[in-house]
Amino acid sequence: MTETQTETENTLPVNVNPVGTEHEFFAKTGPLPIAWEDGRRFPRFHFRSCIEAVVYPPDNDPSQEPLACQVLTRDISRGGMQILHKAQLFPGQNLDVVLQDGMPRRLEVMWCRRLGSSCYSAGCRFVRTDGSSFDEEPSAG
Amino acid sequence: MVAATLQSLGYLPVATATLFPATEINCDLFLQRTGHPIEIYRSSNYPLTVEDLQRLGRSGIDHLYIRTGDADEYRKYLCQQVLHQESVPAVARVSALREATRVAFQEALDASDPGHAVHMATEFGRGLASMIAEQAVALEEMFHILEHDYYTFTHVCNVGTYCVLLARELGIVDAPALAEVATGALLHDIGKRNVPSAVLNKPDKPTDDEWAVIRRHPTSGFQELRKRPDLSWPQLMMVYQHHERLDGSGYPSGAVAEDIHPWAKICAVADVFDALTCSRPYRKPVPVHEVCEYLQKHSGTWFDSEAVACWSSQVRNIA
Repeated sequence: MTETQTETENTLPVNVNPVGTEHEFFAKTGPLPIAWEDGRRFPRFHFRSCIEAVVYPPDNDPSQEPLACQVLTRDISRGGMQILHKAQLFPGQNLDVVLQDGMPRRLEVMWCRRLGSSCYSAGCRFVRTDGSSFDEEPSAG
Repeated sequence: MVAATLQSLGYLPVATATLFPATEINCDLFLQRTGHPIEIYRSSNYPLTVEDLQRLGRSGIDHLYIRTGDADEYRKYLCQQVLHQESVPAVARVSALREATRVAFQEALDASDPGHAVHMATEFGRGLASMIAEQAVALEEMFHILEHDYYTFTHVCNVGTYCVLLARELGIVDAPALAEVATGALLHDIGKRNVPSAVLNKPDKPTDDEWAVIRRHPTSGFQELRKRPDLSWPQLMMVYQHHERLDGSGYPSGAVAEDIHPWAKICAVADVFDALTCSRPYRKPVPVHEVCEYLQKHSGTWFDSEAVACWSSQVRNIA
C-alpha cells in the first residue's frame, strides 16, 4: 500500500480507493457526460466534497440510531445527488446533509451499490423534511 | 404452459393429493387430458370415490382444476376437511395448507395493494411454521409433495417451506420466529409483480435488457413493503437481499457477507435450490444431487457455508 493510499484511508470518512486516488477523486469537475439511454430529468455535475451528514435508520430497523458522520459527494443535479458512504444504505433511508451554502437538505436513498471495501455509492433524491418529493404537493400540516 | 393457459381461461389447478374420498368440495372439478379441451370430471354434488383417486393416480394425473371463482370454496374445504383433521398425516396437512394458500395467494399477488399478499403470507407462514415446528416433517417428504413448476406462487410457497425447514435446522426453533421466516420467504419475490408477465413467463432465456428489468424486483419489493409496521427488518432483508452473494457479486447492492442479513442468506439457498429443481420453459429441472454440487461449489463464496452444509445434509435423502 502506498503512502498516499494510507493517508487517504486515514483522512477521509470513506475509502475512495475503489474509485481512484484521493487526488483523482477531488480533481473531477464539470458536467457528467450524457448517455444515449440517459433518462435523467436534470443534467448532473461532478460535485466532489466531504460534507456533514446525519444518517437516519431505515423505517423498520429499530436496532439503529441516527448516525452523525461525514460522507463524500460525487455528483449533483437539481433532483438529487450521489454520495459515498462507508456502510450500506437502503432505499427509502433518509439523510440530512449540509452543503457548502450552509442550508440543510434532506436526501432519500433511491439505490445503493457497493464499490469496494467500506465504500458504498448511493443515489439520493432531495425531499422535503416530511419525506415528500419536490415533485409532489407538500403534506398538509 | 398448459396450467398457465388454463389459468388465463379462469381455471385453477388443485393437487389430487389434497382431495379425499367421500368429501364434498362444493365446486365442480375439471380434468385436462393431453390434447383435449378441459372437461368436467365431477360436479359439486358428487363426491370423489377411492376408485376415482386411484384411477387418476394410475393415469399419472396429479391435478384437477376448479373455476377461479370457486377458490374460496376450495379453501374452505381444505380448512375444514384436511387441515384440522388429526387423522390426516402431517405432510398431507402441510400440503393442504400450501394449496389453500396458493389459490388465495395468486389473487393477492395480482392485487395492486400488497397488503392482501402480506396478510396471506402471514397467515400461511404461521400455519406452516407451527406444523413444521410441532411435527417432525422431513424435507424429503416435503420435496415429493411440492410442485416443481416455476410459476411465481408455486415458487414462493416452496421457498417458504424450504426456508422454515432450513431455519429450524440452523437453530431457529420457536414457532413465532419460524412463522416470521416463513412470511418473509413467502414475500421474497413480491417485487416480481412489477415485472411484465411476458418477461417472467418467456419461453426462452431473458435478454440482457429483460434481465435488467428482472433484477429490479428485490428493490421494488422492498420499496413496496418497507413502511409496513407488520413486517420486521429481517423479513424485509429477505425481500431485498435474497440475490446478494457473500463475495459481493450479487444484486441489488453487491453487499458482502457481513452486510447480508442471516435470514437473507437462508432465503438465498432456498431460492436457488427451488429455482434449479423446478422446470422452466427453457430447461428441465436439475437433479437434486447436481443442485447440491452447485451449492457446494459456491459455498463460502456466494452462499453461506453453514446454511449450505445444513441444507445438503437434509436433501441427501431425496431420490
